[in-house]
Amino acid sequence: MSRILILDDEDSILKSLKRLLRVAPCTVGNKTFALEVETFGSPLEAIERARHEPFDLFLSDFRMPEMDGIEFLKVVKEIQPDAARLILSGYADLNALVRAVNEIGIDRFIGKPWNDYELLSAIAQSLAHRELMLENRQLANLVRLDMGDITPETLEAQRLEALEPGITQVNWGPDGSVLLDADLTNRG
Amino acid sequence: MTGETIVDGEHQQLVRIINLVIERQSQNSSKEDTQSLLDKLVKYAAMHFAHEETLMVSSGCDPRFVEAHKAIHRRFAQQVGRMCEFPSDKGMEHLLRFLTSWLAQHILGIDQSMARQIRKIRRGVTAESAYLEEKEIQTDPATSSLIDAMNALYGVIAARNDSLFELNRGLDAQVSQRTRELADANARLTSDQAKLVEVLNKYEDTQQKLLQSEKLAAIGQLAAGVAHEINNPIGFVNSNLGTLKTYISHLLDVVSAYEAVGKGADVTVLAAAIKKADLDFLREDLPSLLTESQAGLSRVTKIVQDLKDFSHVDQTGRQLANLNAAMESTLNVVSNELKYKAEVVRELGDIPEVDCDPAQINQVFMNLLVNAAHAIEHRGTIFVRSGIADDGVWFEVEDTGKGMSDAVMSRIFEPFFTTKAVGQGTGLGLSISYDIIVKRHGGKLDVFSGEGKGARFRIWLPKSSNVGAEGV
Ligand SMILES: Nc1ncnc2c1ncn2[C@@H]1O[C@H](COP(=O)(O)OP(=O)(O)O)[C@@H](O)[C@H]1O
Ligand SMILES: [Mg+2]
Repeated sequence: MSRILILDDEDSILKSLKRLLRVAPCTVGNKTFALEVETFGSPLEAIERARHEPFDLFLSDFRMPEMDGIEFLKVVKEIQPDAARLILSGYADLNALVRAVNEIGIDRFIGKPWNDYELLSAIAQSLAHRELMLENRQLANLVRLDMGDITPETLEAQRLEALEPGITQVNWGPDGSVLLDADLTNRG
Repeated sequence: MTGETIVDGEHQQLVRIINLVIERQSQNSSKEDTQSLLDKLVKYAAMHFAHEETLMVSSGCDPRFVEAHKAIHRRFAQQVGRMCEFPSDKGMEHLLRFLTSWLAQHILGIDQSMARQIRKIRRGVTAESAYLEEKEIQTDPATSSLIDAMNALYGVIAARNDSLFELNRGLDAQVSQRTRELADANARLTSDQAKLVEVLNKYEDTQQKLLQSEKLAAIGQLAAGVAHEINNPIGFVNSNLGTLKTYISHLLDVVSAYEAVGKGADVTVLAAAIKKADLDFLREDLPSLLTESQAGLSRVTKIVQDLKDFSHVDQTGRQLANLNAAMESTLNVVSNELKYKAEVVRELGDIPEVDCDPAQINQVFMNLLVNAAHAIEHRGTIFVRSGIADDGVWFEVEDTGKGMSDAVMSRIFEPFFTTKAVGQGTGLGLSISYDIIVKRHGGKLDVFSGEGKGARFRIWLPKSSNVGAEGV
C-alpha cells in the first residue's frame, strides 16, 4: 500500500481525484501500486497529519488561501524528506514553477485540467522512483553497517523516523515527560 | 472788374461755373455730376492763374508781388488737391464752399490789387512804387475789412485743412498698419490652431492606445486568475467523466452477467461482476459525481457570463448604469485574483443610476481592486464602499496593504509609473483610471494613503455629465 496525501482547497477536485485513484490502476511498467488516499482542503490540517503519519507521496494544489503549494511542500519536506512531492495546478505561473523546482525539488508539475492517464503514471513513476531510491539507500546502509561506518542504532532511528515522523526528535524532560519540539509546534 | 479783358472774362466764366456748382449742389444732383463740374472749375482756375501770372510778369509787376500772388495760387491748388483726396458728402459740400468763397475773395481782393498795379505801371509809375502804394491804399473800408476777415478765415481753414490731411494720412497709415498686424495675428492663430488640433488628435490617439493596452495588460493579469478558476472545474469534470466511463463499463458488465445468468450461466459470474462494480459504492457515488460535474459546468458558464458582464461586450458607450452592479460584476471577475489575498467587505449604499460608460468604469474598478490585492503582502481586507454625494455617486476601494510614501503618491497618476516588478505592473492603471474618471466623465479620483497605512482610493462621478466619452 502506498500512502498518498492530496491537498487542494477545492472539494470537487479532491472528490474527483479520490474516485479516479479508486477505480483506475496506478501503473508503471509492470508494477501496479495499490493506493491509500487521504485528502485535505486545508494546508494546516494536512501538515498536522503529516507530522503523525508517514506518506509516500504528497500531491498539492499551488494556489490556496492559507499558504501556497510551495510553502506547504517545503514544510512537508522537512518532516518527511523521503516522500515524493508533486504539484497539481491550473496556475501556469513560470515563477512558481521555477521556485518549485529550485526550492523543494518537486518530482512533477502537473497542469490543470489534467489528463487522468498522465496523472496516474506521474504518481506511479514518482512512487517507483522513491522505492528505488530507498532501496538503494537501504543497500548502501547495509554496506556501511558491514564496514562499521554506521551504527545499528542510527539505522534503527532512521527506520523509526520513517514509520513515525518526528519520533526520534522527541525530547524527554528530566521528569520523563515528552517535551514538544518548539520548532515543530511553531510551524503549525 | 479788373479792367483787364482776359482776366475779367475769365473771372466771369469762373463765377458762372461756381453758380452752376451751387445750383447743382442744392438740387442734390448726382455725385459724379458735381465731381465733374468741380474738376472743370479746378482746371479752369489753374488756367486762369497761369494767365494772371503771365500777365503780371509781362506787365512788369514788382517781383515781390508776383511771388506773393503765385504763392497764393499754389496754395489754392494744394488745398483743393487735399480736399479731393478724402471725398465724402460733407467733404464735397465743404470743398464747394471753400472754393466759392476763396475765388470770390480772390477776385475781389488780390486780383483787383494786381489790376491796379498793372494800370499804374502802364501809366508810367514804377513797379516798385505801384506795389508799395498798393499797400497804403485805403479803398472802401467795408470791403477792405471784409477782405481782411476773409483772408484770416481762409488762413484758418487752410491750417485746419492741413492738419486734417496729416491726421487722415496718419490714420490711414495706422489703419493699414493695424490691419496688417491683425491679418498677421490671424494667420498665426490659424496655424497655431491647426497645430493644436493636430496635437490634440495625437493626444487622443495615444490615450486610446494606452487605454487599449492597459485593458490588455489588465486582462493579462486577470487571465491567470481566470484560467485557474476555469481550469479547476474543467479538471474535475473531465476526470469525473473518465471515472464515469469506468463506472458504466462495470455496470454494463453487471448487466451482461445478468443476461448470461438468464441464459443459464452460473450465478457466481453475477456475484463476481457485482463485486467488481462495487454496486453499493456506485449507488452512493454516481449521483454526487453527476451533481458535482454539473456544478462545475455551471461555474464555467458563470465565469464566462461574468467576463461578458465585465467587458460589456454587448452594450458599449454611454448609458444610465447601476454602478453597484458594475462593481459586483468586476468583483466576480477579480475575485479569483483577490480571494487568495484578501477578504472583500462590501459596504455598498443605495445609489441612483449614473450616466457613464460602464465598461470604462469597470476597468477603473478592476485597476483599483487589482492594485489593492497587489498592495497586500500576505492577507488583508479590501473594503468596497459606495454612496451618494454632491449630486453624484462615490465609490471607495480601501485596502489594508503596505500603503505608499508621499513621494510615490505624488507620482502614481503618471503614465508608466510603477513600483512593481516587470511583468507585474505596467504603471498605466491609475493614469488611465484618472483619464476615464476625470476627463471622460467629469468626475474626481482621490487617494489617501501613508507608508504602512494601507490605501484608500475614492471616485466621485456626477449623476449626469456633459463631458464626451468615446467608446473604447
Ligand atoms: N492600493 C495601493 N496601495 C499601495 N500602492 C499603490 C496602490 N495602488 C497603486 N499604488 C502605487 O501606484 C503605482 C501605480 O499604479 P498603477 O498605475 O495601477 O500601475 P501598476 O499597478 O501597473 O504599477 C503602483 O506601482 C503602486 O506603487
Ligand atoms: Mg495597477
